[in-house]
Amino acid sequence: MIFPLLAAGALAVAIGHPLFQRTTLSMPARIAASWTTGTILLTLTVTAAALSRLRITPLLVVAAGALLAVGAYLFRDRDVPPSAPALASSTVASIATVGVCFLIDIWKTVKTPLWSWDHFAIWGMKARHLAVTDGQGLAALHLPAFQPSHPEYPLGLPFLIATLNLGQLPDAATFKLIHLIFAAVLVVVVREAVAQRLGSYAAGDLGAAAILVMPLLWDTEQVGLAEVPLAAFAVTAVLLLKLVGMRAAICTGLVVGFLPWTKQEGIPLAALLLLYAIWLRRRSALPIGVVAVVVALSSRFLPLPEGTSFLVANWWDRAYYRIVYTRYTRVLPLTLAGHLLRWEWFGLWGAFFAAFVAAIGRRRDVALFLVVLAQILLYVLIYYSTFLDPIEHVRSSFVRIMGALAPLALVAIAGAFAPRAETAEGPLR
Amino acid sequence: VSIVARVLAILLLSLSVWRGWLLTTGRERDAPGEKKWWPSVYHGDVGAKFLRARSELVPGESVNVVISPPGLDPNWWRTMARYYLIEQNVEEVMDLGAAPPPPGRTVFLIDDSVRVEPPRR
Repeated sequence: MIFPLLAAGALAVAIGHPLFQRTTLSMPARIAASWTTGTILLTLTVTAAALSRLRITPLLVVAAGALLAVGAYLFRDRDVPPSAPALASSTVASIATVGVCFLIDIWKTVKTPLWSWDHFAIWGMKARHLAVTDGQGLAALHLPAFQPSHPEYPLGLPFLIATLNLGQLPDAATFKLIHLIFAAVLVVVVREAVAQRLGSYAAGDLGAAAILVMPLLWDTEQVGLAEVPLAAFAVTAVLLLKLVGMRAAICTGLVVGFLPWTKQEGIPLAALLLLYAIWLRRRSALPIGVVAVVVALSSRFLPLPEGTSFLVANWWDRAYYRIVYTRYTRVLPLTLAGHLLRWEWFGLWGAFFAAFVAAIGRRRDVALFLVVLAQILLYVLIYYSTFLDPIEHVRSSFVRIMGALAPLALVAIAGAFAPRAETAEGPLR
Repeated sequence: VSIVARVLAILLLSLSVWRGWLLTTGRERDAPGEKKWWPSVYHGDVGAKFLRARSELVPGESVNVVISPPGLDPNWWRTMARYYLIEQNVEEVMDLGAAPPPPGRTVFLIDDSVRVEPPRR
């Protein structure tokens, strides 16, 4: 159970580490970024191999990982790293806070049964099916048995689970371990991103601890298997955007491009993060965009069935009718606001909107706020547009999708109170 | 700022410890054995029935599931059984009245009752 994940994790770090060894990221952030990009590269390679009718076996994953690691080593950065700005270090209290919060999250994950329907029947069932068929069973997605599992959803996560588990059948503990690994990655990248903005790892620790107590990692009912990876990829992309150099740009593009592989809402999120990259880096965002678009479009090679689209026929007319003529115009915003003000968020979304105003006034990183706001606006439009009852739809999904946006919102809040304004090239490290 | 950070740290720590205590004492909302939010919305009592059946089984045990669902898609039920009985190996999911299930304990979910029967001999 643990051995495949350890072996694949070590391979992923070996792939990613040469690409980040000369950056000024802290050691935990470097390992997290290495694991994330290494895992994505390995997953894409294994997926391509599976589509070429090679069976996903431990030998295939290890061989692919070894080849990628050698390639990454040859492509490693030999330049002298730029000098890192001095950031105040963590304190004993801040480390204890994030440590205790994480330990209790781990405890809960171990104690509680597997998560929700969405959690197991959607992603888990496909990951198990891929393992049983060694990655060759995609045709089964067209069968009626898979109809309730939304066969049209992206398959990046099931392939990622199959890859990290070396093609073996994942059991309940495997899903929980992968969830916790992504949680650890998320904690580290949020800590680093907040520390960069506020100039202190102690502040970064508190930001990470805040995410640990919010629904994304605490709620094991409504939050699914894919939300934590989506959040981890999004924050990693924001973190890597501030690194200089071609290797960092390629890695950033890789992470952004994998968002559409992870969830459907990853498509607009990737597009918004690319716009953010252009705003932040101007012309040097070009390689990021090229890699991201290529990786995102490559997901179209998977032969997925059409499935049941929530936006069937005349969705625009439906949205227009609901917004103009029905009680939803009044009820839905109130329902959404009610959900955002629930105590589980500890005021995060109120702080987000207040910090947005502050960011405008202080001329700080307004663009990251706009990324989160545009994504929320898109969700609201979709609630108006689907054939589902909007209120029930909100009830069943809003906490989940907002959970995945919460870490980005927290990083945006930290950016609003940064001592220095963002520029096209900085404050880069 | 330092005072704000300290207050925040104390709040976060207190909250985590409190939730840990709730978890230990089984009072956390989705602690094991509690009625789960998700099944209560989507699956009604069916989810609770599956969970009750699961409590009578040994994790890892191979079982068959025989069901008598009123007007539900059998594929939906198969997915449900595999979801709720995840700790078991669900060998077969069949409708009541179908051919006798293969060897292994059988979970009968018929209308309002849950019955776990020993293996066929």
